[in-house]
Amino acid sequence: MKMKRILALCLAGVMVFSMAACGNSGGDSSSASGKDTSKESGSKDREKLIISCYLADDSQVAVREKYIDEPLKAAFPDVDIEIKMYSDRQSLQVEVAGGGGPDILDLDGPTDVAEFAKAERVLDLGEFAEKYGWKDMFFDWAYNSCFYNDKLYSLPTSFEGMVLYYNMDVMKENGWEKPTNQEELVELMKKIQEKEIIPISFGNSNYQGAVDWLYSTFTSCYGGPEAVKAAMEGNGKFTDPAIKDSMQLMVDWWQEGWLGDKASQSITNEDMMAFFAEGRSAMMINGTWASNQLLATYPDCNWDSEMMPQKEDIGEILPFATGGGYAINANSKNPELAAEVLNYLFTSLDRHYQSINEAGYQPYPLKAFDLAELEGMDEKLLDQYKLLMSAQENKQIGYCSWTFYPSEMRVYMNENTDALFLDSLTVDDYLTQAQAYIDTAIADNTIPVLP
Amino acid sequence: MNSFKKRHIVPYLFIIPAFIIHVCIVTGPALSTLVMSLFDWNGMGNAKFIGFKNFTEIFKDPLVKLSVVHNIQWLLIFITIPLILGFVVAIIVSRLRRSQMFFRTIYFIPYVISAAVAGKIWTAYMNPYYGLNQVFAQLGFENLSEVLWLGNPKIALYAVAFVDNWHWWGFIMVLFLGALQQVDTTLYEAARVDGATRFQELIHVSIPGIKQTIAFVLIMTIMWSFLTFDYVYIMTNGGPANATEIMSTYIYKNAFVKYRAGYANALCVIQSGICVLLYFLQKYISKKGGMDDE
Repeated sequence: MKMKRILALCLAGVMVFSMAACGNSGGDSSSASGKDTSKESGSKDREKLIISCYLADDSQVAVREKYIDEPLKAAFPDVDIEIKMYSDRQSLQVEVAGGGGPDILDLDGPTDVAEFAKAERVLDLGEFAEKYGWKDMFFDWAYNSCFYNDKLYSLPTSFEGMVLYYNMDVMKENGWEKPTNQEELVELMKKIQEKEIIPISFGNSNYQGAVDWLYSTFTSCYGGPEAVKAAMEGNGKFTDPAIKDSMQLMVDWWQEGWLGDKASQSITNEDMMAFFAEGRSAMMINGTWASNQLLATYPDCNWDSEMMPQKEDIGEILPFATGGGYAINANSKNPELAAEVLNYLFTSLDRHYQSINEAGYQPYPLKAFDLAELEGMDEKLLDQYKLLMSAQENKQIGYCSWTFYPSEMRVYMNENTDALFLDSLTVDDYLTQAQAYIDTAIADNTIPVLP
Repeated sequence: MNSFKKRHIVPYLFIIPAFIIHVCIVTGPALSTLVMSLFDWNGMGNAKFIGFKNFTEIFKDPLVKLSVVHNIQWLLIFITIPLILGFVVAIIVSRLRRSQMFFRTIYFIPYVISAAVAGKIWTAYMNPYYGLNQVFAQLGFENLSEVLWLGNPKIALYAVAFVDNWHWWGFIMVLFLGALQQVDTTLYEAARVDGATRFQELIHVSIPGIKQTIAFVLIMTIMWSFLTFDYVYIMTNGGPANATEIMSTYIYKNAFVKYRAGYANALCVIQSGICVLLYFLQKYISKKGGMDDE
């Protein structure tokens, strides 16, 4: 009996000590294996910098390595730069909230950055902007969209817009012409539907928030950018007739079956693209980013893209957005180096042109961006970039929600636009709630800056 | 140390490691959820104490009411269909001699498929353009072929529940089957000697013999119905138009999409409260009905 008790006590002791050892191993590197220790001491001489990025497949990683990883390593030979993929947004958010995370955060865009800024998890880049002259590097609309509460918190990583794609094979086969105005578009959609083809492909079953492509397009193109801007600046309301009519138009088109065949909640983003490419639908409202996907996945699809057919008193408008934003983590031990790396990314233009030309990367919204450098690339992509540049020069700028709407307002609209389509919410109630979010953002001085 | 003390200290030494782990990774976070429910917090920055404001907002939030209603609908589905189906099939399979293992395996397979995979497969099956609807159309079931299983707010919740049920009932069946095999066979023989029919055997021998398993399954089903998340999140993400929003998906959206972690914590407290309440209610009813699991 005595032996048994002694043995039991020993076992319990071993368990407690092994737990203590487990708990200690993570925090104290000196207790790690000899191999790990030597590795750590070898890399101690080099500074370390981590940049977050989204989950990508092997081919995307290979492209990224060629146009980002390797040039960065060559430009900063003394720095150990790691590009860290995050399988989901929440992991990054939790890591940053816990006081860690990468030095440079690749976030979804100004509305997303705003949440990190609110929590003081990203640095005010004002000092670095002055040092590197970033204000003069970027297009004003893109640069200004990165301000939150009068401070610069991110740099815009892409320059994109919402356009109407046409499947030219379907159009030619049926003798249809591209419409030039809203009335012609309506007539065309009726003809398309008669042929049992879906007029405009749309689906959001796997990403509810894709509705922001639609309402951003309708409010800007058919409500008018002036009405949206007035509402955001407090000189008008989001409930004003111009915006209300544009939202009602979107709902009417959906209920006619012109947008997503009245089944958009059952169609995924991938289906939406496939339906368009395979000719099951004749048109598609999508971002300029989709062109690269079309070329890669459906190389035989004969497509073209234009601005949405104009409304007479508004003219042609191209809703603009910055697709993402680089921010510097407030927990970063070396923010100066992070800023230097960011500056390199935005100033190494040869690398950037090559990445656009060869890999279809979206262009940075830089004033130095020169279309002539892209000569020789895929004609359709080049046409899209020309369209973006010309819309910018001609001040035909509209506003995409993920860049120009207050964060809470965008979340509300993303979650409730389907309710409008399915008649469980009225446009009036929807816009009234959206206006409440604008009022709050104006009161808090967190309303985005619109060009 | 006298033998009395040794007898009482040694067991605690064995319990301490597990207890420490439990306090660190279960009790601590649970208490922090309770504390953070009293704060306005976006999940990343500094939290601001706001007392019970999150709770007062919950009682005014129409989406919370809607989510609870959906959870109750879910509970009603899961407390009936898989239990009845699992029980009936378990009875039938228990009578088989040679092929019992085959059927047991076949019915159990859906349970071992991950929710992510099964959810995605069924989402594709329910696609109106290339899923089961095409099969229905070819078989001549025109009305059925036009149903938007996941796109129609009136049926989306039931469509997702069907898939979760497809995954779940085999597990229930195996639990019941295991319990049925533990029932003393002499009781059946005695019943037969007394002239009992198969139905009477079922009512007077089988069901009383597995009442503890029934009580356990009931308790777990009730609690899991209020904690369910995976299939809804994967197949509809609470849509269309909040038609499949349940407490768990609403908590997730508040914490990670709306950046309202404080409010999400308060919702967690309410969700846990409902589960505890239902647990004791079920215990009370089971005790009254002679089906206590203890």
